[in-house]
Amino acid sequence: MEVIEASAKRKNEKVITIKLALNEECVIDSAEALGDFFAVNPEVLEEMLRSLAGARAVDVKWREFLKDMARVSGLYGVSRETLDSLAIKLAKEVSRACREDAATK
Amino acid sequence: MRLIIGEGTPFFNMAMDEAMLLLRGINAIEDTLRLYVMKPSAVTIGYFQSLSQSVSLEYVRKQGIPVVRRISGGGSVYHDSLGEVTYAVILSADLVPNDYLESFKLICEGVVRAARCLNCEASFAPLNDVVAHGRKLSGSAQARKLGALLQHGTFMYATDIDTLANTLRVSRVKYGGASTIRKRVITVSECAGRRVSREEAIEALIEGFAEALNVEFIRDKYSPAELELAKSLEWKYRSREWTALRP
Repeated sequence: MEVIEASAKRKNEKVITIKLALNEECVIDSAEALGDFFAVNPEVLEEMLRSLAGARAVDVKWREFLKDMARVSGLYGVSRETLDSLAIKLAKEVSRACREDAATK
Repeated sequence: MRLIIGEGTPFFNMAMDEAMLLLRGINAIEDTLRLYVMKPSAVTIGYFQSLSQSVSLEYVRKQGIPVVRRISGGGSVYHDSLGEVTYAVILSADLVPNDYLESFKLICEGVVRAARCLNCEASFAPLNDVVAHGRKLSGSAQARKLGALLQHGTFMYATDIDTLANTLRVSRVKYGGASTIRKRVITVSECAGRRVSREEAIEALIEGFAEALNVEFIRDKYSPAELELAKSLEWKYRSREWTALRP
């Protein structure tokens, strides 16, 4: 099991971190969002992250997922640009972790 | 508008804030301003925060400072029992703008006016702070449920900034390095150039919120329903599972 995370923050905004626990097959075991942001529906945000369990991390379209998560949960304090930047960082981390996993098999 | 002034443990205070939010959501209570002091001094952390990344756990353990997770978002806060009054505004969400920024601005105006009552020139700083001389004087957080809104926040009239700085961990992502909390925070006393008392702080908050919300306050006590619901929620705030929900 490997835990990876990516964070993003722009000036005058809140911090958001996405943390993923990946198994040996690079499948998401759990996902959570951390930070000092606000959400109108925090339970919805948590449910959306829970729904990632079982997905192959490299198959997730992170930009779309984060955008949908923000819209549906009423995420506040984090701009779309920050979420885009987070998606890129997360995709890079996933790519690195999964490549290393494949290489060690 | 109801006004309730009191003090209590951080577990009770967080449970009462949640109880009042839920009861306001089902129209069981009226709009309320609650002013309270944490006894003992405590740290509260935002709903989505990591406990270990937002609080200096070793320091709070040594000092016996309790840590409680809030239902609201936002960052970690040190509530000094001898230098801070916490406010909580519980309203029907219809009464404030739907937009977070605008609603923060409207309610934080109560804190801005309270500071001005004490000769401290303060202003709102988006998203959820009040600043004076470019330094943070107050931070606020919101939660919304069942069509009701809870906004709670600090009014640091004489907070011990050294303890605050030792207690909270500053995010490296947020501030780009080592803690600069001391330089970023100011108390009303420092801003006003004299020692402000708790009584003065409370009076100023009452006046400030009356002006900002354009209401008259009527002193009240907790209803039996509020006390009962708060009591049943308090276990959650005392539990390790809730506090370490995100370790």
